[in-house]
Amino acid sequence: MALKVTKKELSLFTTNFSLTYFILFIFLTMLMMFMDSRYDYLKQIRKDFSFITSPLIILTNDTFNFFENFQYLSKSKTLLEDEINQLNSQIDRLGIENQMRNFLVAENENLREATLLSKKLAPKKTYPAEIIKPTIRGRTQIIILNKGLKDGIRQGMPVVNRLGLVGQIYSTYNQTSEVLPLLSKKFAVNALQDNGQNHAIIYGDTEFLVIPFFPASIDISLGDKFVTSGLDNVYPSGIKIGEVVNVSPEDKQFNKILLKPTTFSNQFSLITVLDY
Amino acid sequence: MLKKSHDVKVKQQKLFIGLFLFSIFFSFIDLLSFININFYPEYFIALMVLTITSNLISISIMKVFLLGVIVDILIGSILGQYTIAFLLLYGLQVFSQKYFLMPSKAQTILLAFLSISLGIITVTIISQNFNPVFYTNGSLLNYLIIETAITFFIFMIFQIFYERTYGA
Repeated sequence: MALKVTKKELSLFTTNFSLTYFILFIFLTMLMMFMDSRYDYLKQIRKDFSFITSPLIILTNDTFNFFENFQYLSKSKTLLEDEINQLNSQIDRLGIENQMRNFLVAENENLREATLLSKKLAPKKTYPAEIIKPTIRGRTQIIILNKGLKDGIRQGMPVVNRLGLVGQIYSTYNQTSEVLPLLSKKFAVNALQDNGQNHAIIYGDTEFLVIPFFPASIDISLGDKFVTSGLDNVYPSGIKIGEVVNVSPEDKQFNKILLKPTTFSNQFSLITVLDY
Repeated sequence: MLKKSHDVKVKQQKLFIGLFLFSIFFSFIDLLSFININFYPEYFIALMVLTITSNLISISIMKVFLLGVIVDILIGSILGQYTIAFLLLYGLQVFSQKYFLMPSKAQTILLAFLSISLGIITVTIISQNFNPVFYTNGSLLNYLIIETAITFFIFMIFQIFYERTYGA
């Protein structure tokens, strides 16, 4: 005798799995991705949930600090004495450098005043900050600073170190802030060739900086340097960005230019945020 | 499927919460950087594969979706990155159950490996498109292979903890 079965029992998925719901959720996820890609909702959500993530960041940083401090404490007395001697000689050297620097600063100030550019170009205020752990979020490399909203850091402020431009403040929380590095695909800056002649917009491109369309009629050679132009009113002019490492023809009219950044975000732990 | 006793269920729920917190914490620590290796194990993919394949907690498509959104908020490059990976893992598991009603140990491990690979490929592709801010010297294929191997190793460690919830 033939056994009577319902249509549901014959379907591909006999568990409580619903193919309709599955497709619906996949569609919903794709919609979420599209909306986030277009309107950057995740940034705002992370800000709203920072009361959960901030303790995590502090915990991670404290864990690293604990191990570093533990390592430091376990150093022998001799090593510490050597270090003190080295630091003393470093202090002497830095003291001399500082004297020279003070002279140069004073001289520079005089020159700026003379040319009436001081107020226009100098940043209003600078905030020294330290790069803290964590340096990753999942698989994404991030730069977190130990200064946040309560220290006066605002979204969009340029971040520099002594070699050049590091990036821009991307997101600020109460006690910390996150930097968008030069090499991020979201990064763009108005730049000027250091001979003061050619303007271009430089974009981050994971491993190099790139100028996608640079007029082929303009001569440019390897090693040419680019600095911030200041035209965007975001970055002060004259901060080093990078130097040309490759020029390849895009079409008859334009060249694609690759630049190596002057500095990498993780090169120094201390950086400076400019209020410009 | 064998019915779990109440004690085992409670133990497994606790294990899930523990592993979830462990994954969050270690997703913020560049653990392998101490030995100069820039690979980030996908702790959440490993946890999700274990949860789905071993039924660590009772799971439904809604829970998978919500877990994905939470993980995206915590560590995702874009909203939906881990959600879609988790949904695909869930889909793969349900589909494979059709063909492996009583899978052997070897088949289970192979399925887990395939699931981890699928999860990592999905997450990496989305990462590459939306936020490729990780720097690797080798090719993407090498990166994928090594990352899958490391994540599979993490999965095996999670699996040991899972098996211990059944006691001796």
